[in-house]
Amino acid sequence: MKKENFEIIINNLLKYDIDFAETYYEKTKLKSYEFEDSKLYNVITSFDEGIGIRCIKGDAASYAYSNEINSKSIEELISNLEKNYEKCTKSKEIKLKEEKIKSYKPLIPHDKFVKEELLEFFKKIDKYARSLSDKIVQVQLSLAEKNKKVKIANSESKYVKEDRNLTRLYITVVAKENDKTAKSYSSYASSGGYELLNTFNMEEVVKELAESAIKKLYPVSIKGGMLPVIIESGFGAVIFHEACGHAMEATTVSKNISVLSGRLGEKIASDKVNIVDDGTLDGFWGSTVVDDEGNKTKRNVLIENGILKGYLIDKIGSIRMNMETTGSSRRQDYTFMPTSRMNNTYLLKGSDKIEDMIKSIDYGVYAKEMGGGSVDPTTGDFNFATNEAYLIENGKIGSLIKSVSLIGNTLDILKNVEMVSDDLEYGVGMCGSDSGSVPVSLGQPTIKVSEILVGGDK
Amino acid sequence: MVKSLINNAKKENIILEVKQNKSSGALINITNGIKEKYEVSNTNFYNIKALIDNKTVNIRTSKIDDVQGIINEIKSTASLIEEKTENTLAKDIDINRVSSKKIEVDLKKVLEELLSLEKLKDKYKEISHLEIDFAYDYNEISIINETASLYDNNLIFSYGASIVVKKEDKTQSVYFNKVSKEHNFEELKEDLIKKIEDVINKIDAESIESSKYNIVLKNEAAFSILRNITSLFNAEKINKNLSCLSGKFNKQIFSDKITIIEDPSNDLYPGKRLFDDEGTKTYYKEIVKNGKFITKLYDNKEALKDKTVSTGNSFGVRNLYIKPGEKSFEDLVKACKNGAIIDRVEGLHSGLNTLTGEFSLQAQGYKIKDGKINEALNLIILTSNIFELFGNVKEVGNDLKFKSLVGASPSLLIENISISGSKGEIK
Repeated sequence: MKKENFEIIINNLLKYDIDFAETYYEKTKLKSYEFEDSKLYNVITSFDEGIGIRCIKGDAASYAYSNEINSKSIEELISNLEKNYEKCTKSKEIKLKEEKIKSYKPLIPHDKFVKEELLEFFKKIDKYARSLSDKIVQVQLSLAEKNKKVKIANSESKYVKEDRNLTRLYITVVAKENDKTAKSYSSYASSGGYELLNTFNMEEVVKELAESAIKKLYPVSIKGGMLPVIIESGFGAVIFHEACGHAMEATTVSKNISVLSGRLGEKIASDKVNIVDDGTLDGFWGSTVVDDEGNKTKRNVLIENGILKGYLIDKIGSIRMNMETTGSSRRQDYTFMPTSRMNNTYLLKGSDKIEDMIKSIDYGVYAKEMGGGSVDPTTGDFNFATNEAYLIENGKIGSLIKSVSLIGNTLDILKNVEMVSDDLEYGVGMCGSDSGSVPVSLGQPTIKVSEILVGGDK
Repeated sequence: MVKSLINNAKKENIILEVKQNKSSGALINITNGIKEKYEVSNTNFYNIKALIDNKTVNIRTSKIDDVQGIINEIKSTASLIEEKTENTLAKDIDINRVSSKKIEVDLKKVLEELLSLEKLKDKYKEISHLEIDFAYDYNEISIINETASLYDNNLIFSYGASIVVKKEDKTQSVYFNKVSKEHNFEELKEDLIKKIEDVINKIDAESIESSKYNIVLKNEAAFSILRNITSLFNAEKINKNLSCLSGKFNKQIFSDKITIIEDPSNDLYPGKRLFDDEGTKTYYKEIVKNGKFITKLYDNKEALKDKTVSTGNSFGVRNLYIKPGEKSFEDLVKACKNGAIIDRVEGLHSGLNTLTGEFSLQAQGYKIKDGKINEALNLIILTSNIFELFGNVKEVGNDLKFKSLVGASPSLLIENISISGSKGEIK
């Protein structure tokens, strides 16, 4: 697809009574290497090329997409869209102006990495993990490399191209003794290439995973209820991703159905809560140079000293809310219309000490590692689950407990963030919402939440 | 084009099988009586399975015109794969096919119907936001290799609704979705009204005291859990110690009231598929019979390892359900006497561990007092494991309704399950 082709599509659509037209094209190559039972057992290769064409009139949109890129198929997409609008008496024509941007360059590009080395790397991890204990019965490893070339053009003359590279590694270690089985996993990911494999100490990580999986074989049960909880730095930030991130997306805010709609400038969290969403962090898993509407990503301050300062806004959101877009429009691929989403969301550092947090709790939970979660942005009710958590009794960390869910409501929990330390770390994940599944990073220092509902089965 | 790819690959000693998946459809979104979104789509994918040097290489692509490029990709990938398998190819099978017809969906009429739902706001004043999605998808699947050619198609309608209700400063919301083989507006409206009445009842919902309760797990919530454990029956996961059912084959795993059936070939249910992704004919099977785990689910690769045959489950499961009993939902509530109805569970992707079978899930429902539905419950946590949950089943309801391609479940009466809530003291 060339610039001229985009121009033709957009100018064809501008013959109709619409406010905005946009074409999004992408070409992707994905390779995923899967290792289990001490061998590379599967390699999945996927190629795709597709286009999505969007028209906006007022705040309503029509969208047509296909992965058959030829003139007949594109004409069909256009004619499907045209049916929704009246023909203009005066049509306007635009000329696209290319906005040159610098895509993130991987240090070790996917095609420059010798795949036999990856196999060696997998075998080293597998051998080392199994050597640590007889209880380690399975090691699962997977590495996915994705290259996505996007081209975005719209009726505001915008034309921008970005070359996106993503690399993600999963390490899962399974322990078994008698009829008990448990696993621990870790994931590393970046907007880059194979330099990812040099960003962590393999032996340290694998040892920690093996120890954690073995510990999880014999967890204790607790009785559920309202408890104080310490959430360790890193992926624990899923609490903010769920509790407030989704409720700040224009998708619900602009329709006035978010628990945070119409609350700009209001105190919604404790003074210690400062949250930022930043799509510009170099090499981060959730970063892109431009968003999927072709606007530059930004550092967006969402909460400052507990006060709601901003939302995440896409094109349609900006029309409805009469506010500027924030470079936060994202989509899984061409099969989705874009909408406002998070990139890399994190809680800024505080100054509390972790020892003081633990000492302050008579009976509570220390959540070392969190799993994912979900939220209803309308009510603010959310949940997230622990992967590895310990009981705190009389100011000391004790036994490992069974995985439990923590649930709460946005407006309560943000006010219950009582202490924030300075050990800011990040984790990575995939976030699913209206426009599909997109890579996101989450970060936070260790925090203490004074009270949250913890599940239990005692 | 597919045949030419297969023939060209054969010249280089590569045996190919190509699964083609063509899909076309449309989506309409109505938000508060206004058509807010309209989408049309048309996609085509090829899944190529290549057998080379006793290894299998899989490639998914939207284009097959670059024959040499595909062959080179197969060769370079094969050189890395260590696992040698004798994979099998699809054979022509005798299928008694009732094809779905590619019908022209009258979108204008559907649009009028959906817009008319806005009138529900006149009756239910608490509704502050009503958003309805309608979509249809016509899907054609074919599998072609040197000797066989299989074809199946499906037309599926799917519906979604997001309902927000408000009373004073309280808000409650619900999202509902379902799929259907036929577009039936009256049925959709009926389902929607039930959801509206339910979410209105939940505006004043409260939490509960943490304790063990007898519960009625309503059909949709029971299915939410069931659909997230279907991978446990997968033979490969069991053999690799990645399922909590490892070592439990032919053993009693659940209550003898539980029989789990998979019936992908049944055209009455929405998930109909006549053959799986490897071309194996699908069929009716009991996976769990009266609580005993009797059928492991196989694809070709794992079946060869275990010296058995594929069960036609290379795509996972379709039309899987718990065999319904005779009691109505109301009978189950009556039989429960005192306890709770759980009608919605959330957070399954993170709150359910398929390796251990343990789960801890955000839930909603109602209290049951003296066999009657009482006050609404929200922000409670259901914590248990699948052996306890399906092991403690005392009665299975008769309210089996298919709303998903994966399957369905009737409501279940289950004894002694932990629910955590924010009421009461904790020690």
